[in-house]
Amino acid sequence: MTTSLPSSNCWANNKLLIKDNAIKLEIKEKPNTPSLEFNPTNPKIKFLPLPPLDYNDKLTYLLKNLEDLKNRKKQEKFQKWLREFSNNIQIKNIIDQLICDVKSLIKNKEFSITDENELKNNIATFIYSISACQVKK
Amino acid sequence: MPSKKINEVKQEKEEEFDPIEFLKNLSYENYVNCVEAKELLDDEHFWNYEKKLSTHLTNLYIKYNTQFGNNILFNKDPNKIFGVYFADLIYKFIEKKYDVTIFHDNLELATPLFELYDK
Repeated sequence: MTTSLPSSNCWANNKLLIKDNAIKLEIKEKPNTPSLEFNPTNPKIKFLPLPPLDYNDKLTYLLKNLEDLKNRKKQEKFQKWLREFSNNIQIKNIIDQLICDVKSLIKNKEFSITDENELKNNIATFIYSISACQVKK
Repeated sequence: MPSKKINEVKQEKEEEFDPIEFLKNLSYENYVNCVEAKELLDDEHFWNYEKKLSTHLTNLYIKYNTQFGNNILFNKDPNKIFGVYFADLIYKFIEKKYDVTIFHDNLELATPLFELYDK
């Protein structure tokens, strides 16, 4: 007859000892901030007269700046799109080539262009308008 | 008799009037200043553009769309139907060269010009 001796390892004794060193105890104290409540009776408070505000001018300035910002963002987005690649060719180069082909076609058919720069801008804008919705930000 | 002479002179003048010669002597501004004539010239210019150039431009657009169309280029026109708009866009930048010979070839078209210049 054989007798089994009690084992000394943790599995046999159903004990699993894990050291948990990740827990940290931190105590934070709230900074003592002075009360910001407005008290007009406070003798330290001085009332200064405000210069008259020209709301029209300021509003116009603000709206103009907002519009400029909006246009600049649009322009940046457009420029970013131009630098993207399609079939390993930069979009800018594709559009330049398209414009070049359009110009030579017009010339071959004995027509002439009134404003080349404007035509170039319009073609690029047109292609952008039918392309730009999926550009990654 | 003076009345007879006047009538003779009038008849001579009428006989002498050559409408084609009259039209040829009109300046470009004379044609453009007549509203009806300008409309006809505009139409002629447009049809000339349609006939000679528009289809080629549409085909060029289709060619580029087919070759480079993907998710960042031409992606709103997968069926390549915007070629017509592309050609229309370019039409605005084509210089108008009016062909006034249409009035020489068809004098009926020149009626508003005769009326305007009392002929």
